[in-house]
Amino acid sequence: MDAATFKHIKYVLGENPVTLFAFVLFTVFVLFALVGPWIAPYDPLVTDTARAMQAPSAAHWFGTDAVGRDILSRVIVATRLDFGIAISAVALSFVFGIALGLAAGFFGGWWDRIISRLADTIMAFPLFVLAMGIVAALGNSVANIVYATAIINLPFYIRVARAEANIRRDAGFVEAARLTGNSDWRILSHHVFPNILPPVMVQVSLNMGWAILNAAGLSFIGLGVRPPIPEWGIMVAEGATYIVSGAWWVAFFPGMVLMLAVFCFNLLGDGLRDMIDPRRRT
Amino acid sequence: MLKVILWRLIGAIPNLIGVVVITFLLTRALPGDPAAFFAGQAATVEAVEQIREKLGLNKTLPEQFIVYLKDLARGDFGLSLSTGQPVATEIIQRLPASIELTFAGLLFAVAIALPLGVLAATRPGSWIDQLCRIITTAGVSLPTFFTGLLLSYVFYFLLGIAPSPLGRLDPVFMSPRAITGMYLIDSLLTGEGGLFWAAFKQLILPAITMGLFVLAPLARMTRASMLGVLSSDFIRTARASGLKGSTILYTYAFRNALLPVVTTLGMVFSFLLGSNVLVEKVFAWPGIGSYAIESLTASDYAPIQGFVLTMGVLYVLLNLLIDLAYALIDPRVGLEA
Amino acid sequence: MNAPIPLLEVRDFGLEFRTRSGTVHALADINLAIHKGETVGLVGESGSGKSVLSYAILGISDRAARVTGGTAVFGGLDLLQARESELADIRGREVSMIFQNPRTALNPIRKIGRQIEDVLKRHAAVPGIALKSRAIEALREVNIPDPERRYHAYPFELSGGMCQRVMIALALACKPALLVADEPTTGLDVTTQAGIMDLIKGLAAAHQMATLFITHDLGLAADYCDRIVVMHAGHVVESAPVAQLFAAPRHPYTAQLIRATPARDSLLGALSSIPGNLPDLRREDLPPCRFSERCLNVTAQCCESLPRIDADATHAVACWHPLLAGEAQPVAKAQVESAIPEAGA
Repeated sequence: MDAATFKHIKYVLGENPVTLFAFVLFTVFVLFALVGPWIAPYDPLVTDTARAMQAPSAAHWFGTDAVGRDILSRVIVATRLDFGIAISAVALSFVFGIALGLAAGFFGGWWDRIISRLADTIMAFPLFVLAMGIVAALGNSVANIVYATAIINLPFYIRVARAEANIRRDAGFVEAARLTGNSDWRILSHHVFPNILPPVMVQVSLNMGWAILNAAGLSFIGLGVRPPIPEWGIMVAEGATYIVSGAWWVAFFPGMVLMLAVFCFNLLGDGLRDMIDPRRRT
Repeated sequence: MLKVILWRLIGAIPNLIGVVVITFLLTRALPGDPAAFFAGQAATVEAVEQIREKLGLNKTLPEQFIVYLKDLARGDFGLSLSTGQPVATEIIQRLPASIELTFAGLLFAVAIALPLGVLAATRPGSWIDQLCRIITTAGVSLPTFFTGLLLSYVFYFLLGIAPSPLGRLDPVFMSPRAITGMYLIDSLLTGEGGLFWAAFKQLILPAITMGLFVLAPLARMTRASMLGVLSSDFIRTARASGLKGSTILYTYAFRNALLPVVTTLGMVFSFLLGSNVLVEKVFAWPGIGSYAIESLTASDYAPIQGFVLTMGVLYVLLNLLIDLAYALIDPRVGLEA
Repeated sequence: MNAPIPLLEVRDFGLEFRTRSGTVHALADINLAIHKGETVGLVGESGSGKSVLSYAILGISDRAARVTGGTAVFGGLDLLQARESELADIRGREVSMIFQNPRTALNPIRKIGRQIEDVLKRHAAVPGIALKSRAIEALREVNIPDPERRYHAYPFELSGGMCQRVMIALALACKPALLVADEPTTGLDVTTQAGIMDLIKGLAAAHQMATLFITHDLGLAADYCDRIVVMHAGHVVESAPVAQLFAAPRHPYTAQLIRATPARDSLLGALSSIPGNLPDLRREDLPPCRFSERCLNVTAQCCESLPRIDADATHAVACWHPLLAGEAQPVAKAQVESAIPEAGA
């Protein structure tokens, strides 16, 4: 990252307080994910029926749940799992999606036909439904939530990479690289890949938010994460039964934090788009 | 026009095949014992063997696929272990509830998003434009299941203006005679006003919950495409011809701006059908989504497979409808086909 | 020439754009008159403000545009002060406009017949059942073959030239007194160009319609106009009947423009280009004469003020040092004659 780029990022952050806010929020979440278990005020798994269903107070900022666990601690500790699922899923779809998309766009022919058909077939399902089907078939585990989320995100990366590789395949600088004796692999990794990185990074950020939503949704309906492990989706599910009787806090805080996390990634994606878009460089 | 429709129908076939193949593979080609899946966790060894025999799992994969296709052709989705009913029958019974909810959600989203997007585009920089921007960013961040819970807490528990968020109808009412299976339509057809109102009240919160989720992409697209169209050459011509502001806005700008919005409907339906499952769980809505969740908890696999297949086929058909709607609005489509 | 009141008279008109990168002084000190039935060519390089001026007259300027002063009187009404509803009543009925790129200037998803009907419905008291026949009549008038069938066509089904004919039919549907034609043949091939220009000329003569023909092509303007108004960097620099302008241009810019215009038999070597560029109109220190920085005859006076151009004069020029007839003979005689076949007519 050269000085000009850094200056530009600083400029965008300064110009755009919303992106700055998202950036700060993101840092807080990353902190929770890294050191959550050490900064949580209580053990997220210890039950105490004597202090069950307490409304938010000085001792328990977010209140306690039906078996007396501290909701704030559970929300903090859950960050690592939720982010972990989302990051692994996005990383998987990033790597495989880009590889497949580049192959399709660069080699064309049968590669293209088969890979595009694969992407189309995934997209032929409502994506959350497909994710449900995959987890149900593979078995109910966190790893399978990651795989399912990765699979349903695959088409986005395939399409971006394919389109870019298609355009670049015949571009002058690729032609030049080929004439000077570079192998296909070298051309792809050194000349095509770096060029598709910026648009894909925006996709990654927007995708992260979506992956978190997706993973939380799956655990909300009882797939993947098993209680008593703290996870935002499942905590909302646990609190759902109490909300109509007025104990709002059990579902409210995990839901709110989940929403903030997704919001944060969406804002970051928008901000990233501004940073990358050269038309906005001044 | 007929040619266009025919082309689109043919174009949907590979996707339908894809949906069937994937649904088949999900159960047969994955690690683990499909027979055990179908039999459920509580099944005995004999029961598993029996199911293996019945499903023809001792045959090769292509042979199994042929059998699967034959079953599908006869409308046989297998039996639900927990209810003992044929899956196809139960899905057909529950499908209208899901469809009613989905379209109510879509209707709500469209009714809010399109005017909002148009207003934001015609008054750039105004408060309504800012509102549109906030809604479109916040809207996509809302976990549907959480919004549903919040709405029922506020409108049922706090304000008491919404009915109890459980099911399609208050228990004091009898469901209307099934004609379409959609309560709103059926109660209108049978002329039961009170029933219609009761079903409508029950539908409002879940429909808003679904609608809020897809409002954002719709409003964002409407705003962007309206902005683009308003600065186009033919709008300048319309203005230079002295046409009325309303004519320019609706007959000229809005209809053109609608084209990209119709295209996003595909993604919108993906969101709607997916969030259907979550919203149905929150509001105990007896559609196919909650059927799938009930089956998940019972480790009853045939209904889940049926559910995924139904949703996939439904989505392919909806996309087909969107394509046709697009072809109807845009005269240029026929040429490309 | 001085006797009748002009159809459109623009006086001391100025306009600027407020943009993020500064205020663009797009138009200043514009004086211009168009008489009934007259064809006036508005000529200048791209960026000289020709289109901006025509949009302002019709009241369809960009949101960022702000009128800084002056009047534009059409039929007793000052178009610059008029309410939007008054302007909308005039547009398409009294003053019409056609544009370049006719294919994008028509609504892509509405039948062309319906688009003409929209204008008729808005302005002419045509009963509903007669709308369709009137629209077809309008198409026939611009020589569109088989207008009954074309009525149902969409713009994408027609060629560029055909779309421009539709645009003309649309603009002339209500028999306006003034047609503003903004580069109507740009982007069309040469044979189509001539057809479109002849059509406009013929219809203008038939309906006693005045035409403001905006172009960067001085040769084309010479072929079709009675009078030419030359613009440079948001200023009107010279206005004269075609023959006079070509025979004895008085503004140095006009002279250079004529020299840079290819005539039918000119050789490439005989053409010259105009040195320098248009000044950046965002500058706060624009000189009074915006040509002074490109002009060879510039003196101190040019940097202090600019003589006001008289719209009523037959040959008006905004220059302290106008060229005299015979001075700096701008073009070969043969070239002038071929460029202005109707000179003296």
